[in-house]
Amino acid sequence: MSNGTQEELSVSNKRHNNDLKGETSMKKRQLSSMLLAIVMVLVILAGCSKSNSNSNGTESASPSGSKASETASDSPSASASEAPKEEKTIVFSTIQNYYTDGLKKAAEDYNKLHPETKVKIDIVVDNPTYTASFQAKMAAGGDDAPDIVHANLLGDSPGNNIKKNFILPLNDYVKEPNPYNNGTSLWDGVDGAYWPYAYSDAGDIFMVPFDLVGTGFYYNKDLFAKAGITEAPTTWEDMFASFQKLKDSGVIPLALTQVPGQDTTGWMIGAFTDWAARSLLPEVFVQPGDARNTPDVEAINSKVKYAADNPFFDIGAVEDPERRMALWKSGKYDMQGAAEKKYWSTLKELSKYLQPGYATMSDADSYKLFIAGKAAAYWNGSWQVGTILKDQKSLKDKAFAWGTFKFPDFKTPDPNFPDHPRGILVPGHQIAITNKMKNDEDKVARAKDFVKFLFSPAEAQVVYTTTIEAGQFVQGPSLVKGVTLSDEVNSYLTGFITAGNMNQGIGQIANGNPKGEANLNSEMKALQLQYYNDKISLEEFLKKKAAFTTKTNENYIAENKWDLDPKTNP
Amino acid sequence: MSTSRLRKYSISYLFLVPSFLFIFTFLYYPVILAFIHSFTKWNLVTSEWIGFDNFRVMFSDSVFLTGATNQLIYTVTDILKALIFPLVAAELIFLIGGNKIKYLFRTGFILPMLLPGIVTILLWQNIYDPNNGLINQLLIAVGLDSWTHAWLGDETTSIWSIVFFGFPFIAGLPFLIYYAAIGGMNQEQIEAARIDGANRWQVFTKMHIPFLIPQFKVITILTIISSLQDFVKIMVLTAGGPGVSTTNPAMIMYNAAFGSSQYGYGSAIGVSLFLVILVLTFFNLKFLKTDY
Repeated sequence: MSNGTQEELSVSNKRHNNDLKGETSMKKRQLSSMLLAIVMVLVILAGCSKSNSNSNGTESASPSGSKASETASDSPSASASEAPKEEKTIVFSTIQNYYTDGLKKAAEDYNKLHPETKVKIDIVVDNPTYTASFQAKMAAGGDDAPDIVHANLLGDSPGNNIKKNFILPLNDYVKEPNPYNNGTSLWDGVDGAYWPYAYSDAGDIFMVPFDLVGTGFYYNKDLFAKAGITEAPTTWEDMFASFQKLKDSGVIPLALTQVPGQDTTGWMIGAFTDWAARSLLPEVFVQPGDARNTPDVEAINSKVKYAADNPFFDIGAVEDPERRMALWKSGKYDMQGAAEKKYWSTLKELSKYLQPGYATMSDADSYKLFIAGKAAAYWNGSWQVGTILKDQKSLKDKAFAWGTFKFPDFKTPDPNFPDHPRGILVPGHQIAITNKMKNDEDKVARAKDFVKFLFSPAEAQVVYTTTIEAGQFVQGPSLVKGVTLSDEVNSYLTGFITAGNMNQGIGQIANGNPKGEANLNSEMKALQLQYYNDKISLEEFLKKKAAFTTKTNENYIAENKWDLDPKTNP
Repeated sequence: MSTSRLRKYSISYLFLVPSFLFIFTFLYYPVILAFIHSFTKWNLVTSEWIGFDNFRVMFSDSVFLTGATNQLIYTVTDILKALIFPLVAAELIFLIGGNKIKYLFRTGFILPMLLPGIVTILLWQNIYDPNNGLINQLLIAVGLDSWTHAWLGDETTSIWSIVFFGFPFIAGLPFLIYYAAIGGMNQEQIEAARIDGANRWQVFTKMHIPFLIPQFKVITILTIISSLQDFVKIMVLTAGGPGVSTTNPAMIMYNAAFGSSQYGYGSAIGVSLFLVILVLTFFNLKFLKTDY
């Protein structure tokens, strides 16, 4: 600006001199005024242009703590270089403890590279608040909504969120070269096996997968060894035998929570129903001729073929919730049949090995029993690895050897439970970009640029390392190609990788409550506890559960005004 | 009001405006909104007018009816706890001699009022803990291992464990109210009764109790209000479980609104609680007015 100011002053002085002379005519004064105005505009434009190039120069020279930043300095992104220099803040909304410190570090690294963009990591306390807040803010116009969000916590189907213009379809974006990864697009920079999860029911890409999430058992190897158990169990029968030995040795065999709102046995129930009813799944996928069918959906679903020995057969398949209810109504799945009897008996047996007070003990307290060495095993998810690693360090000489094992099989093959059980195996950190194109297109461009930065192998590595060091949740193995973790961490995380991801929706045909209402969950839990505590027989329990399913599913059908014919307009 | 008076007090009114604006915005406006939303199916994004459906669903919902029954147990026992135990404590302290000792005991009962409520709740959660809790540890220490129990985790004991929360139930506020009232009694009348041969029990039943009726009424209504609004204690101790065995309407309201985005239904429960409290308060006020 200094050059421009000098020129302005010079022109101004000249005009001043002219005025003093007082010899020029009116026409000449008008002409000189016009010329002066043109010169001033040109000078200002020149100054601004010079300022921009200066800023860019400064950015390129900015120090950076990560390799991603260095890469970006060599080849700055198109979007970044086009971005105006006005300072702006973009907001990345996440849940407490989920990569919180890692994301803050990434935000700092990005800000060093792009001083004009501040990335604020907004931490929300829990999932319901996250969902309600996003939906409310977007419904109110989106001005106050975060710019980058977790797609799996947005409170509606990804397809609907795109339709409502709440999140952006990322079809073209993920194929763009990523300047922070030597031009390798997000599409090529992320493990290709998990892109099918990223499609909405209309065939749009709605998120970029960052990691995998899984559920399983953590176990205290020392306590197992003390009780004479040398191997982690792989079948329910072996697990119960091990738990009995542990109980006899004076420790709590398994800690988990069944407190309303945190009940982690829901994942087990989901895995069992998926195992028992998996063969019926093709009936709930959108089919040609359906009202919900589109060419994109047809292209995806046409590849889906059920095979008992292929646990990955349904990855990315698009479901029809109306078909799910139609399947329930058809009675093809026997809600009081042999499969139901077997897995509920198994869960009742399991309840005998749980910590006293499991029905009202929080997950945090259940975990404390495990980390304090009072419980030999703990049922939870891969996101707990970071916390356990940190706590083990704090325990010093009281630290114990630990490992993980998967949701078990049955020892004797049962035709009602074909092949092996599946567990939760989905991208956990699903990054989506809020559709604020009408609010501030420039901020959207900056958000997109930050996501590219986050998905560079170097910065993703920083996020992982920082998160683990802080003892926070990494949800599971990274899906960003090139991210390496220590063998120790990998051994724990890969212990959760099951063969395939269970379909959680299929549970609705056996257990009802399609909307997952909190009060109905409590009602169902009360029923389960009556059975576990021998107040009702298995037959009575299944009968009451079937009635509960009928009540909640019928309400759901009525609420949605479905005729259960997938060919009619929804 | 005349213009001159308005002008005279204009500054006072001006200073009152911000307070009333805040009260209206953050207290009255949400209540009005809740009334409106109780007749809608509202999920923060879409709202549909459904008349009395939320109320109909509420009264036919088995979970709500269980919660209402539990609430009745909580409220009745809360009233009994608030009426009896602080009164006994106040009477005993009034009877003991020596101002210093009186002061000491009084302070001892009032001091816990300074503790944040959540601390007390967490303390009791630890007392009830089945693995490391005080009660079970005490039972083990005296050789009664077989009596140890998951007090909050078993539906046969959970609701009574919540009722037993806060033992010996000497809440600071009722204690203060009773103590102040007893101190304000006409001691000459009591002395005269004693000279006429009345024993302590007779003084208590024939003189103290009738004199304390206004205090009983105030404490009863305050207890009913706080009992119906009680949510935090149940949320922290059991989250309404096991199953629904300790839930109450406030807990169900929270689950509906914040756990399932059923804000219309949650509002309907909130409005019902409000009406129950309002009716009881009016009843109490009228009752008080008639006598005094």
